[in-house]
Amino acid sequence: MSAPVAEGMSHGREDDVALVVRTLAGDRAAFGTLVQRYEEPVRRVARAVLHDVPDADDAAQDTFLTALMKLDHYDQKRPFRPWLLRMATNIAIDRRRRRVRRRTASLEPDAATLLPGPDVAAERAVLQERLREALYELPERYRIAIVLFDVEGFSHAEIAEILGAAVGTVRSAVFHARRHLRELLADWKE
Amino acid sequence: MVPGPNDFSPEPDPHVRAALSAALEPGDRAGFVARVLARVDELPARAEVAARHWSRAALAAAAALVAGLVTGLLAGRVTPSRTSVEADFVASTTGSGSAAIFLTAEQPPDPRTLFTSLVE
Repeated sequence: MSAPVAEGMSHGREDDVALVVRTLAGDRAAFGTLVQRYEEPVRRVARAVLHDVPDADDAAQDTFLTALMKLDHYDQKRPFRPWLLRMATNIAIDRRRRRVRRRTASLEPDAATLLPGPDVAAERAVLQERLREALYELPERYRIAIVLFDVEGFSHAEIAEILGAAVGTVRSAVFHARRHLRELLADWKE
Repeated sequence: MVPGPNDFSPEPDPHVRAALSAALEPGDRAGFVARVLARVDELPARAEVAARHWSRAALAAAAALVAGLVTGLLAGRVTPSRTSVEADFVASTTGSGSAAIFLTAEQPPDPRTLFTSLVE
């Protein structure tokens, strides 16, 4: 997993803007670089919203295609990553709302996967499954907020802008989500 | 559970980050990028989309111009060579050659012209 990238650093705004300009000029490779650069955070955000992994990846693909189609609307004076992740969030939320009736028993934790395994890898897999389940128990905004804050490294203010919410709301969402997940992690360690 | 002090921290928590990153690890990065680019190749080129858009706009403008000229010639009020800048401007703004004739004519409108425009 790559570390979150602060704006203005090696993966910063200037580089992104140059890639956007080249993409707008028809440079497919430049767009490919943007996809490579941001596929991880986009897919993580989509997975934070959508439980189903293939569904989340479809949403992530849609995000990049939508971004390409709307690239001429992107304000090149602003950072690219929040613009893209806002799009990813909205697309994933829209997709979840459309699919909500199709949610089935797959949401129920698989009992077989929750049984502790004999080795570390199995235990890690179980923990990850429990974390995912715990994450999906959280309200959608909490899930997105904690992934954007703790995983992607956005500030509360940046997340507020991405989600179109108040900074205080985001701070509260991160707080509650952290408490919930830490509780789970602490239980697991005991 | 009493919240721990880190719950209020304005900094990302490396422990939560590591756990969540692992839990949400998407995997198969190269495959994902390839799938996105394959879908991009299926899209019509941006230039083609723009060209189609421009073609439609050009056709509409040409049709409006021809309609305006025909209306003017039939009305006997103007000829193509006499089309004023004002008439062109009104025609392009309103999309109506008849409106341009009425608004820029030096003489009051002929009832036959008015009738023709209403029939249009």
